[in-house]
Amino acid sequence: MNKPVKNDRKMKGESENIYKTLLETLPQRFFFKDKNLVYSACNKSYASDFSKTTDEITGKTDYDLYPGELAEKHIAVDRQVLKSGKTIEFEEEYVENGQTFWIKKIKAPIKDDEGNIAGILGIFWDITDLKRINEQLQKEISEGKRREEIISRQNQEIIELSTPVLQVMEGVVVAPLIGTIDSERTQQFMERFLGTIVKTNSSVALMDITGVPTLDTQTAQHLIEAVTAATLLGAKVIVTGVSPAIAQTLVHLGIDLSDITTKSSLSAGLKVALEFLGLSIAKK
Amino acid sequence: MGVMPMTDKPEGTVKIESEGDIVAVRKTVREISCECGFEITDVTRIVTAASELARNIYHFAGSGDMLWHILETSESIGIELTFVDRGPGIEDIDKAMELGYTTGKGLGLGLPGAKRLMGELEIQSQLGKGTTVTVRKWLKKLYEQSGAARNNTHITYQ
Amino acid sequence: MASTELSVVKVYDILLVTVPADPDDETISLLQDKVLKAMETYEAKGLILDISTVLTFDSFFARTIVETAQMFKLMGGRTIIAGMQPDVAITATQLGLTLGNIQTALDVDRALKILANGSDGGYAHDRQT
Repeated sequence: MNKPVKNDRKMKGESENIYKTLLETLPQRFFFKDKNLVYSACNKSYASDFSKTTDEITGKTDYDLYPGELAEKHIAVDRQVLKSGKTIEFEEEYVENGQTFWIKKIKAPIKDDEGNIAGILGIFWDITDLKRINEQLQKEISEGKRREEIISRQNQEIIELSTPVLQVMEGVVVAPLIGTIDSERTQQFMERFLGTIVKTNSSVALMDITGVPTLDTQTAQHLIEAVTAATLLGAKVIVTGVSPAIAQTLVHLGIDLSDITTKSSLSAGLKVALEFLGLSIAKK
Repeated sequence: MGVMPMTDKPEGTVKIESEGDIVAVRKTVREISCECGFEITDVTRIVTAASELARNIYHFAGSGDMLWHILETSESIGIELTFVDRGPGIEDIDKAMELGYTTGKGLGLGLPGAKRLMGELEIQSQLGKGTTVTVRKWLKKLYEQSGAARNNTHITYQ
Repeated sequence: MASTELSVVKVYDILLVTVPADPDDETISLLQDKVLKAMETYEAKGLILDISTVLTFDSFFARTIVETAQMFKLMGGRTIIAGMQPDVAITATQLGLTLGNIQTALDVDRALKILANGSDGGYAHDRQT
């Protein structure tokens, strides 16, 4: 997944550390499985769900982590991703100790440079709160509360839950975009993105699109809009996660991103960010 | 859609006859939008759209009016602004709504932009008689923001 | 209205203009006049337009700023727009407004650094390809 970088080990080390910190800090659960559905990596949040360390998860399969039936269910979805080569996005309901939880899951195929499927990236996060808020909202509306009151109070919560923007170091924020990007989400995202840039006084903002499953003209326009707005603020925006497949799609769709800096991986983008901030060390 | 106006001051008019009036339009629109409960980003959008349309009147027609209405349905609140002038009229409305069209004053009529910012835009124009542009923006219905609310299990294959 | 709120301050060879919150067209045009005059008087090399309090950024404003920057460039100067607010940036983008090749900075402090050093601790953001 990460091609070995020819220059500068120290730089690579730094950006990888930031990358790691990023994955650890996100509330979402991340994991990578190889094409035999054996875990190759995961983040701390995921590992701690099983009271294990990330190293303890590596090398295991879902049969080791989940009870039989549940493991079968997860693996069935994985197999579908491997077979179809397409990303699957869905919501699941869990009941634990009498409480109901809702989880949103995305499983995306990871392709190598030749386009062969090398494994699966899994991301999931709890949307119970989101659903709770919506139900609460419905209830309040039917009780006749003033719309404006409800909306202004709840709006912030919803925005925060669905669009994380994180400061990974001084001067750099990262916004991992996950899921489908429609007009509505773009709106919420832009407000969060730009707001956080200003609040943290960051010169560099990375927008990672690894978790965006479909890229059509509409989505690309939304992304371009977000980048343009953030650039107007005065931040240097780098779009990361542009895989060969996405690059191909963009060119075929005739979308011009020449004014925007794009990188294939988050770590490559972070490297640019470091250089930008004058933290680069002489290369080669 | 049934529209039930609020009982206290749901509408008003602002005349547009000078450059200073464009600012008056902005101030009024800002007040009403805030009162409706729009978020700051939406307030900025509405005010900017209004500024563009008011300016159109001033530059192309010389004078006109902006009528404003607060709309209320059982599901949402909205703001409606109508810009009326007795100016020269727009020759090709379709063209005017095209992005990038300009009559030579630089950034054009701002109509597509205004539509983008507000959501709803209707225009009527007659050469030699005048133009009426109506724009509307509705307060977002929060429970529609998350598709999650609609489904129990919802699987998308892409 | 508002013309008394407009000030052009000289800091070494840089002009700093703080734009008021809701300027009318007259104030914006006056801004251009004042700036151009100051450029000439002080032979300034840089211009910082602080728009951190500006609430509405419409096409007239955008056009005037772009023009001013172009004029300044012809006179040998460089313009930076500082402090655009998030909701203003979002609205401007959706309205389709562009600032052309004018550089932007998060705040006046950074803008000063960029002009003074040619870079801001490594951060030199120029939209030209």
